Amino acid sequence: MATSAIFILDLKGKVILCRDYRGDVAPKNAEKFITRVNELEESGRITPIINHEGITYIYVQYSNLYLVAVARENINAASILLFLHKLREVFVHYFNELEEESLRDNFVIAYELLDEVMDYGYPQFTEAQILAEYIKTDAYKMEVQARPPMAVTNAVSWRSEGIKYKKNEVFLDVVESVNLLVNSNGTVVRSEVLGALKMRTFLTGMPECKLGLNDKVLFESQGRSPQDKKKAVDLEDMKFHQCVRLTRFESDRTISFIPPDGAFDLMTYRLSHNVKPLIWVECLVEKHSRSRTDYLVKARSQFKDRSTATQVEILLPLPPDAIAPTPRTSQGTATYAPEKDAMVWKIKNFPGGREFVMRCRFALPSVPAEEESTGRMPPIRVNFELPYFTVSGIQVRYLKVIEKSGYQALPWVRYITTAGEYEIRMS
Amino acid sequence: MGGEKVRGELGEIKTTLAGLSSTHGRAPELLAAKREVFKKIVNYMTVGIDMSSLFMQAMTAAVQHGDDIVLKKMLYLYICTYAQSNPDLTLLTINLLTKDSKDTDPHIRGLAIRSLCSLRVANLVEYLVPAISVGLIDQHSYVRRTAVMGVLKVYNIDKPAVHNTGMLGTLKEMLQNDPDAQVAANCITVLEKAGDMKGMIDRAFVVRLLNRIKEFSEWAQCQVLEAVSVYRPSNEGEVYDMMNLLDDRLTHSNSAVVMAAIKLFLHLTLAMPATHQQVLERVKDPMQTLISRDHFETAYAVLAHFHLLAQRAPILFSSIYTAFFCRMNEPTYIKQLKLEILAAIADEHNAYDIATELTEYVGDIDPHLARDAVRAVGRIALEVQDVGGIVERLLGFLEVGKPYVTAEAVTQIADLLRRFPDLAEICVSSVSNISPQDLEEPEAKAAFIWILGEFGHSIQDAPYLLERVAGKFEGEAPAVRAALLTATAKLFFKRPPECQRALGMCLQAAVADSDMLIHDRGLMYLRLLQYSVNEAARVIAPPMEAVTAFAEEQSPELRDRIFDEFNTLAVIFREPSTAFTRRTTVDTLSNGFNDVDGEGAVPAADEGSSLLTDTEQAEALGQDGLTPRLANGSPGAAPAASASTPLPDLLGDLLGGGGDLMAPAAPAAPQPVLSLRPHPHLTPQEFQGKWGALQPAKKESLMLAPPSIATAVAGGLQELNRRMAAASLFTMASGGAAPAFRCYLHGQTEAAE
Repeated sequence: MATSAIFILDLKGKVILCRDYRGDVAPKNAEKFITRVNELEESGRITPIINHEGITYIYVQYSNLYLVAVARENINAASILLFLHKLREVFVHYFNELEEESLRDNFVIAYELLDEVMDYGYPQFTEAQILAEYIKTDAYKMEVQARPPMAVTNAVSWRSEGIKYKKNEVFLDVVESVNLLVNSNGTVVRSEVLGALKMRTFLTGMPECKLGLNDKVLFESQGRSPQDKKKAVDLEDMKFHQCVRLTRFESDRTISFIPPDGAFDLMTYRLSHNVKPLIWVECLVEKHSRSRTDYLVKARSQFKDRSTATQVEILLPLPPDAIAPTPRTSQGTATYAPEKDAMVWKIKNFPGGREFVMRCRFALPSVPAEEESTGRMPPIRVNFELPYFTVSGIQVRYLKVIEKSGYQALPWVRYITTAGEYEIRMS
Repeated sequence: MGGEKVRGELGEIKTTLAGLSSTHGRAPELLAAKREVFKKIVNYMTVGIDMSSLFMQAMTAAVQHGDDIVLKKMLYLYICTYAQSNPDLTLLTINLLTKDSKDTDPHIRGLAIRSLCSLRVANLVEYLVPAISVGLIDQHSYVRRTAVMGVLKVYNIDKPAVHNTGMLGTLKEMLQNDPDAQVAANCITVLEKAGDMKGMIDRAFVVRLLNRIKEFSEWAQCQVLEAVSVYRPSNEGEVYDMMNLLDDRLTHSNSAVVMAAIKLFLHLTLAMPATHQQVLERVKDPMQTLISRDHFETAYAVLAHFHLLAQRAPILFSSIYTAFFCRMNEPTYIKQLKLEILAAIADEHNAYDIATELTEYVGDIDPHLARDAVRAVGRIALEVQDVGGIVERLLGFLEVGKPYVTAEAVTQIADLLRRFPDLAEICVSSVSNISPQDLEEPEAKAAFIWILGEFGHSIQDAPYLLERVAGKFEGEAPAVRAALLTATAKLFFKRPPECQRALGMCLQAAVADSDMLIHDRGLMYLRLLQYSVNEAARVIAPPMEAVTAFAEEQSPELRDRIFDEFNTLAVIFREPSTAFTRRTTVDTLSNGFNDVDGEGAVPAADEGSSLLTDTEQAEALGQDGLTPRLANGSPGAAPAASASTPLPDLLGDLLGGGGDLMAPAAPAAPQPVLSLRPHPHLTPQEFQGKWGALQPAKKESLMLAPPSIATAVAGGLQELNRRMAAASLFTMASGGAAPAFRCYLHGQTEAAE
């Protein structure tokens, strides 16, 4: 079940780095890999895992690079794909950016890293903090903080001892991203909210953190009043960072942990019951003649008046051969983006309970193009941010930090909802 | 030019190295200069230029700065790269590495042992063993875990060396007692590979390992879960204990851990059908999150597992079908899999919604997605018959006006008609609106011609459409020519006067055809017709029989084998690992020849479904792409022909020297005494009456293996029903809960009125 080697290739298939763990796949196979990828891409049958002449190539593409794991054995595909992504994160952590240039500048340290993340093709550690102990070369761009080595039996593998900050702060961002798909007849085909508690900690020593949420299960178990229960949320499939003591959570729903240093996702969750779309967009098509078509787009905010969506961007697809599209808007500005075949309507501030309208007029060539694509129009896509608001209604009730030196840490909590894959099909 | 430049560079590096080596002292600039040169060497090495000639100079230069770990790492990398090709020079490095393995810095000790074991030179094993043995009892965990992996490296070069030194025994002890989790995890890896793990896995061991699972790193947790998955608990209570202990692994943020836990749960409960089903319910949520949150690539791997589970237990996933709707910016490989899953989980409740969503994709700009969507609707039409509107959608695709959509739709409709000839009434009028000229692709054209041949009696223009293609017989692809010949011959018996001209053209062209198969088939038709028209009609155009199972479909047995290899490449490639791990260049090249043999052999070997063998056999033979439509007609002839007719021989000839291919079919020729109607008519009342009135004719009890029961139950007995239906036995009623399921089946003999 072991990986034979890791190749890092440029997009033409030239080897930039190659770490051979088992000596049963030669680097020259990289060429075969790239030829095969090109063939499959042409036939539209490309997958992230390909088997060619008895060798399996598992790869991810990132900026102008391929990260490829090769194997002859029947390995765990899902885990290796994830490993490659973690490897990418490690590189990004060390070089700030991962692309051909930064890799070439830092290839010695990249080899050092590859040496430690796997041994004989078996993944070992992929946490940048832990790896720091073994990496001796200074990265080209990164300031490496001198850290004392981890104690031999360190129960907390994700945090080193002896971290010091002048000012102790914790930032907690509650981020929810809304995925929505609406059919051309206006029915919501699918809606889903993906939430994450993103944390950044700048804390001295080995702090104990405790986080309280308005968790439904907790409220029920405490026998709170029905009024309180209304405010509680029921989250699906919660996932925690490895630092969270899950047994504690299972028994009394407290989220307690010793956080890693820096940024990490404390918890993620999902909400799949239907939520009312926050911003509703409709498009009416009025075809007067070939020389004049009108799109009438209505955007309505369906959240409370006191909230305001910012950075609203509505991408209205137009036919590729549209001539001189001219927009008129009741709010915001709209500009034609021919490279996207779309009208981009931007509204800086969109208060709740309001409706704005855009009318977009364009012509089509009087003679239809010979190969006029009869393909369906891509959907209208919407981007927005809604600060101080969560769809799920999740709330942080408290965030306590206790460290034996007894310092006071400042917790900062923010809420924001953003549009993920927010698509509305056109008729 | 390039070579010359490199040689120049090589010389330059050599001189620089020599220069640096002769400068004594410990100035930091000297070290920096050396590091630079080594970077250059490693860089050239990476791009594949042979740097082995610098061996001596590099060694000397690096040894002088023995305390610089960066330089050392680069030197080790260099040594390991060229060790195999230069065993003599490698011998010189042994001293250095052995010395370093006793260094005061644990990091250097670990690195030295790792490099020492990575030299992969067989006759150096004697130097490795002592170094590893010392490493295994090192104070520092880094050295220990590296040494543990070293054991495996030696094991792969020289197995006896490892067995003789008793190192595996040491590892077993370390696995139990070492305080460092990663050391223990690496012990598991080595012991598994050396085949020494099996004997160790007992209750006490599993409990101890699982109790400390949280100490392990994410990757090591996967290793542990995988190792434990071979353990078979002695009672159900133990299974529940294990699952309770590990339930939180399903909420881990690392998807590899989640998948490993899922595998363990599924395998643990194989013998407990009801619990197995609960596990499937339980893992649904975490898996769903993995596909919507993780990277596309990881989502792809998870989706492949979803597909496997959906095939085993479609009903469990049928309620979450919207999770498999495609988003616009997902890569094609994700969409492709999602469509297959949608087709697999479609049932009477969701089929309409799914088909509506799929229709959206048919309009997509990406032709691959559009085709996949058509194919998925075709699949649904085959599997879910009671829902209206599905076949109509399929027919609607014929009018979308894009050639590839039309082509795919025609192919799907032909498949649908092969299984449900009754649908012809609804389909032919739409199909007859297209003309063969609109279809470019041979497969679609052949499918269309097959429809004309089988259902030409109700398509007014059929003979003339065929005639038009027959006029350009030579210009068509082999598959089309074969289909055309058969279709024309078949239609001839239904509408002789109109088809005579077309058949004449086809026969003439076929006899002159360079393709052996078409040539022989043409000759056979001709001679049959000359011999006796009635006899020819009986052989060439027997009444059409519905196909109950397509050869492309994976057998449940194969799926079970893949399920055993859950969470590996087997699931991704949809074949057991033996199929792809040993595949070499030679195999792939000869595949083209083997295909026919291979496909023919599979159904023949499948004795369990002997009632089906002849049909399947013919289907499988059809898969070589040369005889697709003929295959359909001929099996119908087989049961009708008495044992004395020369038909099997003729078929053998027809398939171009495939006499031995047909051999397995021969034993099937003796008729089953009982022949059952494909569509029995019996009301529940009648059934109940007969059930009470008739005496039991035969009682038999058979034991099923627990995994098979789990599979059958998880799939809502659909598989059982399908298999029984294939043998013309239909379920009147079924129900019950584990462990007592009841199925009331019935069949009707051909003779019954």
